[in-house]
Amino acid sequence: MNLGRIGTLFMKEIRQGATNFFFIYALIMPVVLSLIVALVFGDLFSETPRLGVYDAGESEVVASLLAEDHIQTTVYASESALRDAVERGVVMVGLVLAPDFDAAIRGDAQRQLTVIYWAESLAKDIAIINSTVDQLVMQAVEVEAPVTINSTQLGDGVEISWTERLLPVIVLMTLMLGGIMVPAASLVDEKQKRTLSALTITPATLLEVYSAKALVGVVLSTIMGLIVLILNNAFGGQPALLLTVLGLSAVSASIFGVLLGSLVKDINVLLAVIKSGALILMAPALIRMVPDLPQWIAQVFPTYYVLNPVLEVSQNNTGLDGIAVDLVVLVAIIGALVLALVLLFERQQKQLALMS
Amino acid sequence: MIAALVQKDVKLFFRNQFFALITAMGLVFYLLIYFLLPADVEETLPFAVFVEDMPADVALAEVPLGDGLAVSTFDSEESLIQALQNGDYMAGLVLSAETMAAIGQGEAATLNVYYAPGTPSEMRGAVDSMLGSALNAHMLPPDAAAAGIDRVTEVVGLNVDGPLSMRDRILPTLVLMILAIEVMGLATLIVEEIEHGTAQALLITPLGTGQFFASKAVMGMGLAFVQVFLIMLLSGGLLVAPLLVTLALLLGCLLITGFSFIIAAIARDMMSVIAWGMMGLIILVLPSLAIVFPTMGSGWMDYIPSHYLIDTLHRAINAGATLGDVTANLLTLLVIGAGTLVLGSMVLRRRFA
Repeated sequence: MNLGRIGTLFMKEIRQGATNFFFIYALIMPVVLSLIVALVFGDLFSETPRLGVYDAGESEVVASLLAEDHIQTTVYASESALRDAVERGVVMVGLVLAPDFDAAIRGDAQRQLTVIYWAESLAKDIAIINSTVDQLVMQAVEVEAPVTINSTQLGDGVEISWTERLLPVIVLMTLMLGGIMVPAASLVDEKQKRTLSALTITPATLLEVYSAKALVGVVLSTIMGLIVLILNNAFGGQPALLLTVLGLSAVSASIFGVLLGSLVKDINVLLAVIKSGALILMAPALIRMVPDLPQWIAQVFPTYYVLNPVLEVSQNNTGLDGIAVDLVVLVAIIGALVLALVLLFERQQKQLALMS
Repeated sequence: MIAALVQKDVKLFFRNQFFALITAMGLVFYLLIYFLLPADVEETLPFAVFVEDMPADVALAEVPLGDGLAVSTFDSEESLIQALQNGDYMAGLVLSAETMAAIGQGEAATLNVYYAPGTPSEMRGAVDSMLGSALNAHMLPPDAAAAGIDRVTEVVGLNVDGPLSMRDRILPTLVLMILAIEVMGLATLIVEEIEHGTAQALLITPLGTGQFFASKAVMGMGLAFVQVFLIMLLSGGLLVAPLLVTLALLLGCLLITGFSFIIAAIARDMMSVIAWGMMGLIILVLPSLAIVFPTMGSGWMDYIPSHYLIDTLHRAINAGATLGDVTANLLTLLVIGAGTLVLGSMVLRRRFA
């Protein structure tokens, strides 16, 4: 195996990658997903009831509603815009505040409030919104509440936000896209264009070609993994350990990618395999998203050992001792993949020699 | 001749047993997703209550705790706290004898509310608000503050009995996902024929381009229709409104066949089909997100053609819509589907020429 030739092939892969759909996809998708999660998804999966308000006057209750964190209030410029939002379910409840609403609640005018409900609203959301409005009205008119609440949070009070729950999905997807899809698609493309057999007529061996492709996957998924962790404020305090763990995860993904690419005949089949296998690959991240599920189930899937060490080091600042078992399993998985690749590689080299 | 071509395409498709198996597995996965999603909606918050020395003649229902809470009673404060720590409940209230007496006499009282580990601060605020509001309204005179406001209410939206489960919401989206992926499948089939030169070879024979396009359209529509029909049948969606759903599915297949033709006309090779197909998939799926996650809904989504399919299916399956309710949607689908098919055929014809 000649390292110089692997370097040349690696550079060729990088140059061609600039025009390859999967390569660009692996570069852009993790960043886009991180931004979407940060900007939209945290809000999308939020269980906070959504209230819409149209204020025909200048009620002080609106400012109080906007300040509450247990309901999400949006102010609309017109009653028709509010009505449209309620009809679509964008907000669950709409309040139409008359111009003299504040005077009305102080008893100076007719005490009437128009409330528009979305037909699919949950009873608990309606109850939360209505009670919040009532409480704020009481505050506005300075009525002393006879009942006060003394809240006690049991346990350590750790909250798992949706952004935190979605991070494993993004990290694993990043590692899989760069590590599996890029080498596999590149290898399949070479097969379809018959450049793979042409390459092996040159002094470059099949092993060197496979190594260069795996190296691209390792570099791409490691770099993108780091970028995603930085974008999500989850870099942790152990850069050397994190880089090592990410590198090992990327190596396992890339070897699997090369193995897949060498087994699959064309891009259609590759896409079909990815489409059907995505659920299995992503299973540990999906299970982690739902804390109520028994988390041991995730350990059944091999990608758990790709994902868990990365998250333990980056999110929980776990040291080498804490992830040693996971790393041993990961190294064993890498060993098994290399063995499978070697067995396959010898057969394919013979086939290519015959074709040549 | 069209039948022979369709037969050839179907044979080619199923000759690759692996590809056929994966297509079937895809269907199984979609059904699995559907059946794994919750079929019910939790309308209320499970709420634990322990009342110290509850008088035998006082029913818990007489303690006004708010409509959004599903109350369960506990024998002791310890068992209530244990249930919260086990995650069985999100919040719990301990009412001492003094508190009960104070509430009964309309005097100031402090309620001790416990929250399970990891309860979000927003949820704590919401429960505090519900309890406080309900009990204050109970204790204040009727004309005081919020209790005296006359609420004029109105219910808008689809004609449904209550909240829809995630399973009900996602079914039209699964149909749309299958159709959107099928756009890539059919476009690939056409581009492959062009790349390999078999399309040009076929057109040298007495076969006309119209017949060639018709065979591809029948193949694409047939393949997509079988998949979405099976999903609808096995999920039970078809049984709700068989004719309307079948008609909507057929028009949906026509629409995606038109899109496939357009993508095949502009794509140069397989990768190009995937790139354009992915872009199309994202755009086509957007209106369905507004049904699964209504907070994302926006007026501009109504201008995406797939909105008319997803809206029709959603109304037919989940809101008991009749043909009259969705006629405009179906006509729009027909016009856009036929239009894209004609446009795609014209551009493809120019490419062959």
